[in-house]
Amino acid sequence: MGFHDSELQHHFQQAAAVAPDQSCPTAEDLWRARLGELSPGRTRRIAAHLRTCSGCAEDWRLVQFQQRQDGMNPARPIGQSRAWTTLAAAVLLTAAGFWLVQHRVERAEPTRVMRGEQQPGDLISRQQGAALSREACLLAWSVQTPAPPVSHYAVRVSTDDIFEVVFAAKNLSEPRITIPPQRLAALPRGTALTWRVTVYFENGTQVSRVFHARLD
Amino acid sequence: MDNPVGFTFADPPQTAPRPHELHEGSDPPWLSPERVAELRLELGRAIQRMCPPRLAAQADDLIQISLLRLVERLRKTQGKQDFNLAYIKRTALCALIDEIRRVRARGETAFEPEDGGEPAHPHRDADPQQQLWARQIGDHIRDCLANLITPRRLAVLLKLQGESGRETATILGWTLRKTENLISRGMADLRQCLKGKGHG
Repeated sequence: MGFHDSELQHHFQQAAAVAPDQSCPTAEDLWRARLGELSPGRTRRIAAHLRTCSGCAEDWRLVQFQQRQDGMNPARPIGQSRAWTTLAAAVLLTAAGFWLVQHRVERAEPTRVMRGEQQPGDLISRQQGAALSREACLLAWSVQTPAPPVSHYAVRVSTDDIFEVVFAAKNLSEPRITIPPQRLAALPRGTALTWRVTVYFENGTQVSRVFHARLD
Repeated sequence: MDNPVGFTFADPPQTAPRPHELHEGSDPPWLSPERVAELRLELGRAIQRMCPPRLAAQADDLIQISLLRLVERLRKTQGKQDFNLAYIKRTALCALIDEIRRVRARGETAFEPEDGGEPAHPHRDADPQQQLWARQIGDHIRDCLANLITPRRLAVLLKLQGESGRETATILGWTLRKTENLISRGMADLRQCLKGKGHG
């Protein structure tokens, strides 16, 4: 009787260690290869290396584990079946229509506070779900009461590209900040932005919360 | 989700380099003590989450190494490039892998749980005959993989590493359909080859 896939996986992964040599890819390259960030040739060389180097194979699985934990799995492959493409297009169109409607509502009521599952002292965004205007990119938030007196706030805005922090500000006295348009000028329309607000309370505690938005 | 190296997470590191240990003299605005302390804190959290108990004693060193890498990068870019949490975690993981490689190169024990959990290498405690058999299968799988045509070999390798078809497709830059075909045919070739070696 032949092996099941899981048995083959198990035996391959538990194979005796092979000493690493100079051709072992760096940890950084393993990380990037798994995210599809390297050239196809380099990625395939690294994948081929995993056959002969159980150490790198184990390191790959560690990277895989960590990226999965952080929701950083490789993006969707470059080709899909026709049926799936059609379905995806339909979903996208529906989502775009919904977004447009919601976007208009948000524009009409810019100060509406979205209430969710937050606890007292937690932060809530005033932009949640709305696109950010690049000309007047106002980020605003508020603290759920009751909460200790606030000392100050800090904000950090980054793109989904893990390298790029677009804007950061500290020691803010008001729960709002406008990102200078020049900081956003190079970003394409629809860029996914992540902004993290930290509120520092006078009693020495702090609360952070991450919000997501797209650039108009 | 299974932890691939079979470890549980260590206690949080108790100490870590202080900002003044990393740079002397007046700080440029992008390398303020507050910023360094913030990076150290994030790295500490990341290392705490990833570090196997076996390397708990090196947790402070790992934080230090990671922090130096980040500070070096800040210096190189004159603070124009900053880091978000994902990049900080990535730096911590790379430092951890480097340390694991150093331990491995010194021939020290593999990473096993210290809490009585499932051992990382279950067949290690099995009887010698079983160990030999398991090792033989592992070797034969590697041999058989070498005989597969390259695209099938790569697809099957990643499958054996636990990647899904979709993930493999993205990593190798192929369409999902092509990848699934290669995996399917490659696994059939692998089984056939193993059968020829007496497994099956």
